[in-house]
Amino acid sequence: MKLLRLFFDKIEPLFDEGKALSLFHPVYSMFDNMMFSSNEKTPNAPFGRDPIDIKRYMFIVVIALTPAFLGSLYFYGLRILWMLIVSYAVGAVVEIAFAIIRKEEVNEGFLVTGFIFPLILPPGIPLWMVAVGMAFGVLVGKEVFGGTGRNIFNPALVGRIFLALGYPSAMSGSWVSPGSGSLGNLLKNFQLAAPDVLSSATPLVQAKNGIFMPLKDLFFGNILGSAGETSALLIILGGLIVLFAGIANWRTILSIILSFAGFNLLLNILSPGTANPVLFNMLSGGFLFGTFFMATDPVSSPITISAKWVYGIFIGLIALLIRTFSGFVEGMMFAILLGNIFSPLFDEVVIRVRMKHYAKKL
Amino acid sequence: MSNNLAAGQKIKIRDIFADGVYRFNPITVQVLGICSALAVTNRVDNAVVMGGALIFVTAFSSLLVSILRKSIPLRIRMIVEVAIIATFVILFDQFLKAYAWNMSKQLGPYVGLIITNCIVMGRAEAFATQNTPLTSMFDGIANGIGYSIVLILVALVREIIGSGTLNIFGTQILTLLDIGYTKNLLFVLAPGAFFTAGFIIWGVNAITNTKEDANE
Amino acid sequence: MQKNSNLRTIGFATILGLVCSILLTFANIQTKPLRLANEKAEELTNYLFVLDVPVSPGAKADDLLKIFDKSIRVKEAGGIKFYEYYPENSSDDKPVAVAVAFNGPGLWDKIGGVIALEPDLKTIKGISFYKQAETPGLGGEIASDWFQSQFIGKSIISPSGTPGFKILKPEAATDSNSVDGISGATMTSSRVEVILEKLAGTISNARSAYEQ
Repeated sequence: MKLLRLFFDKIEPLFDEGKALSLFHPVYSMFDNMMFSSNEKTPNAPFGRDPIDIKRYMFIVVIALTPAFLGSLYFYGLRILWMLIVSYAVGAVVEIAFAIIRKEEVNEGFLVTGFIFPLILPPGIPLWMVAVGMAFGVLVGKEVFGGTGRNIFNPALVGRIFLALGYPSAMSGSWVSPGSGSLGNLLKNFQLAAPDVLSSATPLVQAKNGIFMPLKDLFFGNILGSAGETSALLIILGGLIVLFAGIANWRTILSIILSFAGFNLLLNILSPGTANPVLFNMLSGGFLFGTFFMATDPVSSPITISAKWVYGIFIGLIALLIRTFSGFVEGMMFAILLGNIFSPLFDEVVIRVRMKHYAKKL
Repeated sequence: MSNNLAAGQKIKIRDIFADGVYRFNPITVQVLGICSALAVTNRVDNAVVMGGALIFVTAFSSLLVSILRKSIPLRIRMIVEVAIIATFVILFDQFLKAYAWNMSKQLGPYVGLIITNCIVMGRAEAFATQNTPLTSMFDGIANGIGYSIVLILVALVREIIGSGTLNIFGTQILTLLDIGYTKNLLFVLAPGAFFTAGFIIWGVNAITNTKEDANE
Repeated sequence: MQKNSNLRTIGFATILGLVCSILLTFANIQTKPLRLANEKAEELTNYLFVLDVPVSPGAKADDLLKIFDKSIRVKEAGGIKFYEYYPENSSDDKPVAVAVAFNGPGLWDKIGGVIALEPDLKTIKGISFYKQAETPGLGGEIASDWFQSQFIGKSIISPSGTPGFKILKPEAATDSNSVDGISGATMTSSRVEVILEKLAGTISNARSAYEQ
């Protein structure tokens, strides 16, 4: 470690202003920061109130996503690893390019975005789409707004929506049957090209036709779905990690689940048959993954506590409405993006109401 | 609207074109006429015809408004301008319907909507009412060209990314579909133009700002 | 007279209005025949297309109208308009194909189209969904060649003899009266099925009236 430190100290002057490699200073400091921790303080949101810094924070999310990732390797084969590599490579290129142009430090945000992105894609989509989606997500979802901490939207979701609206047939028809047995598909599908057998019949599509998969399969993941979204068990496992590490806010998660399940129950009582059964709806599609890992993104979700509740209720309701009444079978990603758009407004309203309250007290 | 050319001053034609096409480009700088820029830029052909229509309308409406500028009663100035613009727009629309039916169908209501395009009205009101006829006509043409260039740029990006091909008036210039490209429907539809136009404006602003920084 | 007096304002407006309207009326009269021909040709092209009437690619509106007048006869029977195709040089007094227009609700907007049948009014010769606003890339695929060409040679009568037509799951269609649906566009597929199911019924009901 000492040697490494010496090495870094030794090459640092090369990247100084006016030297040959000054353009690549962000690349240098990225590696420096990765090996050793940074001693700088963050000037922008998200802020931490304890020793935890952005980097460690992002690292915990990556650990929490690992069960779902390993699950996706088991279900769909090594192809997911290729998707992850492409996603990281493209994310890093865009991030570093902007750091160089803006003469800023490289942010670690793409470590999470790049990890989440392949997990919310159909396992059989062409790799170039992974690249295009990631590039668009980071560029339009983040860099346009000024980089990590300033983004309105969750970049991974922006990338996914871009693909879903841009290449709808590939995105709705590239599902792969999950493997089962002791090794699953672990040793299969390591080719770069898409697997031969692709399907479009996910549980939510089937539900529109009145066929409901058994809840057991939904829970353990023996279904078609996005790479990391199939097994509810693995998502909840990772979800508990972010929850207890204090990274995901429990209010957001609880309010989304309560609102989604509550309205679903209400709908089923008021007009039976319109919406899917509550448990089925909660275990299928991207609901759990979105709730635990995407809606809770500290940058794009509200800051005030009351606004978090409103935000959660809003997302749950919209997701249910889109799933039940629209031409799309899955509404979670649209619901979260809408929630992202409204979250500054929720904060604003909460703060104003509170100000009025204080003004009265005075 | 922002304009660095004072009324009545002797104006160089080169300045008029520099303003209309680049310095005060109606789309990238003034952000006018965005509606049609989003709607008709799915194919380069459409963008070319739409740009042509706008050049025609701004040129002649500016010319006519400028000729009449001393005799138009002040109270109905705006109404007169709109009537003149509407006449030219309807003329162009009828011409398209008679001689280029397919193009007219492609552009749909957007040719008619040039009447409400802020660029035309803006040039008539801000420039033609205060300048001589010929200068005003050049100003109209310059702004029309500025608009057309951005439209065609957006359409180029959208047609290539969206449809994976590039056809200009029946001649295929490029196709990506043979090498396994899939059509991107977001770019076929209006949101694609929203992003493309956004990136173009971003790019132009970034360049302009860098230049200004360098000048300071 | 003052520049902004009432009288002058009204006079100016009147003259301008007159000049503009005369100009526009003139342009309108000049282009009217051409515009009407274009509109008519637009509608008729769909019939010519499904009936497989040979049309040169760069044909003008006038040419299309001429071809239509020469080779298509309209016959009304059982409340439906049948567009019968008699090829120019054939002496046969039986039509080669018959076209019927149809429409119905789609997922986002009305779906309209034309279907061409053999003179027996059972076997499909061609179909075109020319008016639709389905989800581009998914339901919108109904207007694509691969979807429409599946219909050629199929029948609007089921093997058991009852009129009807089915849009099945992708790669599931085997019957003579069914085609593959569009993957990812179940909602559009089922609506198209409803439209065609109804169409098959109406055509079958009008068959005896047509044959008389």
